[in-house]
Formats: sequence, C-alpha cells, structure tokens
Amino acid sequence: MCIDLTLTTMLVSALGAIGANATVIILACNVNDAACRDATRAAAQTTSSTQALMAAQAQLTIHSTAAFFVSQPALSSTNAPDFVYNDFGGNPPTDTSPYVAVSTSVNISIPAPILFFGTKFGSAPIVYKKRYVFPIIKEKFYG
Amino acid sequence: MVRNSTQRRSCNGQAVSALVVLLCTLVMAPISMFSFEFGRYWLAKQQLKTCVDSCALAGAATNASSDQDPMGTQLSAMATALSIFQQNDVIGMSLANAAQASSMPMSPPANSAQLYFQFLNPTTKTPVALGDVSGKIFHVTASYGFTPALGNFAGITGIFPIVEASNGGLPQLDVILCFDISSSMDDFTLISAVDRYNNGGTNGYNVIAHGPLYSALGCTSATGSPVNATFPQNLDAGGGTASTYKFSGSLRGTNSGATPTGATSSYFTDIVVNIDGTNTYSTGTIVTYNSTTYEFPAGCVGCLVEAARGNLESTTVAATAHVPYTSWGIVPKAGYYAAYKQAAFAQRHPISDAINAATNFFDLMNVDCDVHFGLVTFSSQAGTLPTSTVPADYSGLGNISDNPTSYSANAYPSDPYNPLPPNPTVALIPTAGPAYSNYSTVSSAVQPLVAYGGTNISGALYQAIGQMKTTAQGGSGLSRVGSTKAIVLFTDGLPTASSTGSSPLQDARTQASSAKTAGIPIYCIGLCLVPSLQTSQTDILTDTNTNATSGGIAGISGNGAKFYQATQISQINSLFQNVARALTQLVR
Repeated sequence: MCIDLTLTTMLVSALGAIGANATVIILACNVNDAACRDATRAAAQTTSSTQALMAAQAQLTIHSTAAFFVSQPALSSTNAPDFVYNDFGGNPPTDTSPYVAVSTSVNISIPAPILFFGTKFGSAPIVYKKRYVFPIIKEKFYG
Repeated sequence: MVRNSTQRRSCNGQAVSALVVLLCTLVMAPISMFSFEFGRYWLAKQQLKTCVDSCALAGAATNASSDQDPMGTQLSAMATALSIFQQNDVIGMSLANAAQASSMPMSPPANSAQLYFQFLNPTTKTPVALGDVSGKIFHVTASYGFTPALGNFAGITGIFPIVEASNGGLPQLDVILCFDISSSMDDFTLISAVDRYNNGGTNGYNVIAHGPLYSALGCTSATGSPVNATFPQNLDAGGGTASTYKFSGSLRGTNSGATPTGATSSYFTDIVVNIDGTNTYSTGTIVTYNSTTYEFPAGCVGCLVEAARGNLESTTVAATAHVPYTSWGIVPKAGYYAAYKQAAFAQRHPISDAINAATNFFDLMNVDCDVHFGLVTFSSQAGTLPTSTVPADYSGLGNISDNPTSYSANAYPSDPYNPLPPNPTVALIPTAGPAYSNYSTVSSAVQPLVAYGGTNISGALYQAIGQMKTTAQGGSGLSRVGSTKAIVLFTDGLPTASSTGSSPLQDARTQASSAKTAGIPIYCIGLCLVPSLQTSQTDILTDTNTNATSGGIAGISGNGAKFYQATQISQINSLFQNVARALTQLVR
C-alpha cells in the first residue's frame, strides 16, 4: 500500500509540477507580449530614436508584475537588433516604411524545479524574449 | 483472517493506484496538454493580432499620404504592409515567408502566414476595387497555420488556421486649417522693380532690381517684406527700413507717364511679377484669359508694368499713358490687366504653392475619411466670417500717388483696395454627413487669398479653438460628438500681431495651452526660406519644448501634435501629407 501511495503521489506531483510550470511560463509570455506590443507602439509614435527609447521604457514601467515568478518586463538591450529606430533619414526606399523594432524580455522563475536523473531543471530563471516591429507614423520631416 | 485481510487491502491499494495512473494518463495528461496547447494558441492569436495591427498601420499610413495615382499608391501600401509584417514573428516562427493571398478563405502552410488586403470606403465601410480613389481604409486579414507542439503525443496533427483582421486609416475627423496670408507670403515671388519714366514722349523702363522680392529689395527683416507682389502692394513700405531700394511716390507720378525725365538709380515706381517665372523676365509668355490670348513679349518688363497699371486695356488708354506698345509688337485690348493678374497670381511664392498644398490637403482628407473642415485665415487679424476682408488701410498708402482719389482718375484699376483682400473664416458644421463637410467651401475660399498684413497667430488659434471647444468648455461646440479634433497651423513666419493680448509670441503660447486643456492638438507647418530665421521659427512652433512660457505651439498643445518645417517651397505639399500620415490610426 505504501509503495502504491508513494508511486501515485509522485505521479500526481510530477504532473502538477509540470502543469504549474507551464501555467507560469504561458502567463509570463502573455505579460511580456503585451508589454513588448505597447512599448513598440509607443516608440512608433515618436520622431527620434531618443524619444522612441524613452517612450518604450515609459510603457514598460506600467506593465508591472508581482515579480515573484515573473520579473518586470525590460528592454532586452538598447542596441540593434533588439532596439532599432530606422526612419531612413526621411527618405525611405520605395514600398518600405520607416520602422521601430523593440525587444523586451522577462525572467521566469518556475515554481517547481524538476529533478531528472540528477539534473535540476528550472533552478536558473528562464528568459523569454519578444520582438515587435511597428511602422513609424509621425514621421519626422527632413527639410 | 489476518492474511486474508492483508490480501484484501493490498488488492484495494493496487486498484486505487491503477485508477490514479489511469486517471493521470487518460484524463489529467490530455487536459494538461490541451491547456498548454490552448495557451500557445491564444498567445499565437494575440501575437498575430499585433502583427496585423502593425501591418494595417503601415499600409494605411502609406495610403493616407497621397491621393495621386490611387492604383500606384494602393499597390505601394500593400507592399509596404507586407514588408512590415514579414519583419515580425509569431510564437518564435518568423513571418519572413508570409505571402499575399488573392482570395479568401486562405490556407496557409504550417507555421506560415498569408495576408489578404482590401481597401474600404471610409463612409460605407464596404470594399472597393483596387485603384478606386475612395478606398482609404486599409483592411488586412491574416491567417497563420498553427500546429500543436505536442500534437504527435496526443495524436492531434494538422494545421489549425488562426485568423485575425485589422483596419487602418483616418478616424472621423474635425480639422481646422489656420492659414497665414501675411505680406511675407509672397516674398519669394520673382519680381522686377522698375523705374518708369518719361523718355522724350514715350515711357522708358529701367529695371533697378529683380529676383525674389525679399532679396531683390534688400530686405533683412525677420518678419519678411511688407511689400506685396500684387495689389494692394504697399509700395511705400519699400523693403523695410534697411532695404536697399526705395519707392518714390513722386516719381511714380500720374499714370500718363508724365514723370520727370531720365532714369533714377535707386528709386522704383513699380513692382511687377515676372509672370514667365524667370529671374529677369527673359522668356516672356502668352496668357489665355477668358478664351483670349494676351502676349507678354520676352524681356519686355514695360509690358508688365503697363498691363499691371491697366494701361493696355485699349489703344486709347495706352496712347494717353504714352505706352510704346507698337515697338513691343502687341495690340492693347480689354483684359490685359486681368490676364496679367491671373498669371501673376500663379507666380506668387510661396502663397500660391501654399494654396495648392492646402487644396491638395482638403482633397486628400476628403477621400481619406469622414472629415469636416474649418478654415481660419489670418494676417494682422483673423477672419471671422466667410466674407471677411482685411481692413482697408488707405493711410498706409502714404505718399503713393496711386491712392484712390488720383488713381481713379488715371486708369484701371481704380482703387488698389477695391476689392479688399479676402480674409475668410469658415466655421465647422456639427451636423453629421458629407453634405456638411465644408469641403467645397474651404477649397474655394483659399483660391483668391492675397498676401497682406501681419501675422496674428494667436487670433487665428483663438478662433479655431473656440469653434472646437464644447459649450461647456466655453466654446461654440461646432465639433461633432466623438470626432477626433485637430488644428493645422500653416505659417511662413513668426507671430507679429495679436488680438488676444499684447505679446504676439506669448499670446500664441497661451492659445496653445488652451488647446491642450481642450484636448486639441495643433499640428504646425512652418515654411522658412530664410536660413537665419529657421531657429527662431522652430522655437515658437516646435513639438519638443512643452514649456508653457518658452515652448513651441505644437509642444505646448500636446495631444500628439507635431511640428514640420519646410526650408524649400517644394516641400510644402509633403508637409501637409505628413499631417495626414500622422493622424493615421487603427479604426473600426
């Protein structure tokens, strides 16, 4: 009976842990996705790289999380290809829109690290990154 | 008994364990997998929606920026939209291979996307044929071939298309154009400053300066030249106090040409527009007016002078005025003055270019969206009615002998202030429907505008903001409920007059603050052709400084307003198109 109970508990626990981890990961992806979308949209409403960066960062601050399992979304970096502001100097090539690209990322600490043949999965945070590209609408005019 | 009991418990335990394993395998595991896949599917759907929004905005912005060659513009909008879409990804899968579909429904391959583009009429929201000028809402439908990550474990294979759609375009809009008609608006007209004198019985014409009016007269004023290329010309203002060349009222004399003999060196009696568009009137031109042709021979500036004075209306008038028309090879006839005026109007710069740009802007916006227009023109004061004119300023004629009393005795035109330059204001109409858009009214109201007077930006903004504010905000409440409001301020200079206070600059900023409070962005278009003045114009119009006492009008008004500056006349049209682009958004 003890062996039965132990095996059953282990099986249910393992499934529960996988389920909890998957839930947190999916949740984190959604949080980061929304943050990246809003940051890119805000950056696309500006007329310079500096303004775009500031607008993106301002948007990220309002996407706060409990920061227990999922960290605050942050810009992956301020350099290409994670952050690109390309207005083509006011003269974009034919059939090409000026655009801004923003990458954001979150660190995910999964709630149930899994031991598998001595290897521990989930002890280090998982980094989830998302990048969006939006057209620059309020294009600067280079007269 | 004990052994039997133990054996029974063991069997029960095994049964429970088997049941739990069965439950986990057949119920919990599939539910977990389904939940995971549903989470992935939902995430992919969200990401696809964002990609489609980005795509729709890119296409709509391209489409909103031009009404020239609708087919070419719409093809370009689709290509631009596809290009932006391909730079994105969905759940880590690049969309670089996304392709345009030719029909619906779409069947995208696994982990790839297809796009279907349509152009909708902004009023009816129905699709129109490619190339139709009314197709101004850019509708994008995207389909992504989603494949489950754990599908093979669960035996669920195949492609599950995710479909998302988005519309890009301009919202329902109430827009008022504040249009500068100050005297500097024709400062870059190519003119000839002429000393007309009596040359032994007939008139002689000595061109003492030519080229752009501002520089030809040696003007250095930051607010431009008060002299105008066409009536009322305000000639006695010369090019300003620091100008090189001065006007002489006494030398202008009577219209008969009975002026002192001999040419003078630095005084001019007439300023005429080089209606052939050249610096020195070197090519001449033939003008058609009312189906009649009028010849203005090359190099014959005297012909322009006499036509502008009205001395070519008949051979009798010309002979009385000592016009040597036979040597020019022309025959005076009725309509020469009107023909000159028509040609001169088209050659006034930058006002004629600005009028064309404003007309194009009205055309563009009218087909782009459900828009209602207002117009406020301003010089030393802002107009208040569609029939408003600038105030007559006969005292300003000073010592010019072409004041009404003497001019009327000389020749046509009888009075330089008759008719007075128009200074119209067209109010928004809050009634819904295209019939109340004011499109025709504002389009025709800008055509006869003449450069004259100062630059009263605060007065114009006060008029425009007052129309858009609700009655509860102290305004007239002429905007439609639910519409997006915007003011477009076009000026070629700096505020020089105010009807709302004592400081033209600060009063303009005060009006910008008022617009901010009312939620109205003021898009500023600054035309500045004099390099040394560009900084000071930027300071008062910029969108980067939001300080209420030192900032720019666009920045202070906020609400997404932008400032665009043109340093060449050819850029004006693009600036108006930039405003249309800046107003683009996702629409329902």
